[in-house]
Amino acid sequence: MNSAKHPSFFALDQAVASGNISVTLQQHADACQQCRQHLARIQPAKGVEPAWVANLASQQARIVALVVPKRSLSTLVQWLVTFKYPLMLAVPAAAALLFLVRPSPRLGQGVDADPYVGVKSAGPMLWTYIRRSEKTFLWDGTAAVAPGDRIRLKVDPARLTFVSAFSRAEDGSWKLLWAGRSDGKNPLALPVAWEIDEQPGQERLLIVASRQELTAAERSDPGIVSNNQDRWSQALFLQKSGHASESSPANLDASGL
Amino acid sequence: MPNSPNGDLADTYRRYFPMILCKCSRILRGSGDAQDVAQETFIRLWQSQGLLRDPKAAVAWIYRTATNLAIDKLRADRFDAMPVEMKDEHADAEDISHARHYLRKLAETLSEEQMLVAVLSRVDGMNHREIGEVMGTSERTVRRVLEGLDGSLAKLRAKGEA
Repeated sequence: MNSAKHPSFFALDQAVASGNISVTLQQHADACQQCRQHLARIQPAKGVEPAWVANLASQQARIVALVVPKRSLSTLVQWLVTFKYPLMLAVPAAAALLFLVRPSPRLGQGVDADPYVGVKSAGPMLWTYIRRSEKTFLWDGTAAVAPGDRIRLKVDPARLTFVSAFSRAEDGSWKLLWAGRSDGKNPLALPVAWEIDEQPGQERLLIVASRQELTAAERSDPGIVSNNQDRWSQALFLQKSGHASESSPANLDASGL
Repeated sequence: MPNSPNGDLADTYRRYFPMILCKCSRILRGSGDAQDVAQETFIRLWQSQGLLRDPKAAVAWIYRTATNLAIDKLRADRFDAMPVEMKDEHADAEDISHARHYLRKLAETLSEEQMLVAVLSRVDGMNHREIGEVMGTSERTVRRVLEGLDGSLAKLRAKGEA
């Protein structure tokens, strides 16, 4: 788009976002098919928001519920003075209780861990996207997938620099779908997607992030990978819609998302 | 702002997502990557609530963030064992593939600042003032970066890489 003839996409976007389309801009758009088409494309979306937006809303609702109501400083000081003696007893007691009941870290978890699609506070993270027809949404960990759906994974390996993705074959063996390096800093969207085939059952995937390349033994049976400082693995179970959960496992075809 | 956070989110989605997706599609044509980057940009926008008070500043932020995320995506293509390409019925597949390959080459070679300016100038067709607004720099700085960009592109052409 030549700025000498047309307003830039940026100018058009700002005008629409601010709800302030000038007369000059409108007159140009009326006479210019290219600008008119762009304005039509960026008009506010209609209809129901996709699932990933709903997921974002539910995540936000959970966070809001956890936020402690704000108090003014004077109220807080008054509150501390009033409860200072109970607090002197309660704080050490709570610390001792926390020490006793603190859950053990998730080390040594095998591939039968629950499917994980959300966000952890620290350590590696995994997002599973499903593209169905023209829409892409974040998998919620329970929704069934359908033949033709395309699966795409994004991993934040949290300083681990090798990422591998496996699928479970019918005979129980693991097939390496993709392996590559990440920069160890930014989330890595695996540059491949897999299409769900029509075979009934469950798609079973295993994602491994590691500090070094996996050994030959780990590549042939990634189920032996234990979670520790140098290794992290996460299993995904995607149930196909309309099929029983105990049927045959994954059979994925590499395909474009 | 409405009281309902969900309603607020839906309004923000309807208002900004189409232009974010359009912006991402101009760089990452013909692939599902544009949708991924658009989602990531929108989520970051939503998490930066203060931006939404000023729609023009929000659009400038969107252009900077979406461009940087798209450039990261292009650079990540180096790990592309099996390229993911969606057929775009409205564009020639060979052109899309070539354009993407060209941008990826540039992303591997140019500095982050040069690449950001290159996309804003050559792909989005923005003028110096607009680029300065997006980058938070003066028009003079934009001109300087563009001059450096021309020099870098000339060197690449001489090597036969651009």
